[in-house]
Amino acid sequence: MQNIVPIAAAKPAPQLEKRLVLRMLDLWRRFHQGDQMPQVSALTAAEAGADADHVYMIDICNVAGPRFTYIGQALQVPGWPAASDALITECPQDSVLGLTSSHWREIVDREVPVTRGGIGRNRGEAVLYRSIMVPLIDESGRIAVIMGAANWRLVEEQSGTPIE
Amino acid sequence: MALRSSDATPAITRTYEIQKFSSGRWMLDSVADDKKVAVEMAAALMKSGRAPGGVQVMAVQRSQDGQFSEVRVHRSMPNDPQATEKPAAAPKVEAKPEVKKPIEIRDFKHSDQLDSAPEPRKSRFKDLLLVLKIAFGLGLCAAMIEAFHLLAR
Repeated sequence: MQNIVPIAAAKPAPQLEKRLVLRMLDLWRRFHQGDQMPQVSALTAAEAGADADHVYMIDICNVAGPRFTYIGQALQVPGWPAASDALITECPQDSVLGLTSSHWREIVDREVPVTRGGIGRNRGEAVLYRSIMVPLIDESGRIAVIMGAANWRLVEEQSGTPIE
Repeated sequence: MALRSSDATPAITRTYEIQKFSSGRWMLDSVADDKKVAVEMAAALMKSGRAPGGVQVMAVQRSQDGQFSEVRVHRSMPNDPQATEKPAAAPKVEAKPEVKKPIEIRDFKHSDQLDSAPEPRKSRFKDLLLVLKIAFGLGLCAAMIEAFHLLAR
């Protein structure tokens, strides 16, 4: 019987960060130019790669109010026809998209990424979610767009303790 | 487990600020609402290509009247191993809502002004003082011995 000795691969596979929020934070940091935050034109949802389905973009300079310019497939809200180009205020709150995007102002005020999580409802089911929003600037250095990302898992709802 | 909706509670009483030590001062890097996530974010920042001189996580608690208090729950300073704290070293803060630091009244936009004096310099200064004290003591002993010899003659 011939012994087969395993040989280590010449180049180990890159280790993927477990948490979506940390991957997004890393992506945001990689697109920094010196001390400046990433520009809107440089960091797009496509740069998120496999995470793009869980990403959304908010244009905060819209005259009528902050609006979505991109919503990843996983975050689409069924029965909400508006999808992208819709105002944040119109987004159903019983969705992860609505829950997480409603805190956009905190990112503008603090000018740093903010991560939030908690329990909420998505597509009629109780979920435990975690999200992050990062600021992007325009050519003048002003925060113009917020890039968000969220994922979640279903949680069991006990009878008699409905989600408030 | 009773489920609570997070969208019904817009006012957060406690957040975790991830701060980086850069250009001689602590600067706000990011914010989290969960201690574990905040510590992971701080660790990720230190591993990133843009790693700062140090990172720390501050638990910041706000009251409705605008007062806030803050407690450091994690710190990592690669150039000063003594200043590195393990995340497990701060369970007291998580368990107790009371903070040990006196409550400070400041504008909440405080991130640029926190703890401007880094600890490593302080400890080095202490070390220098200790060395000087020892040297002075040895010199004094030598002088006394010499004086004793002279008197004995």
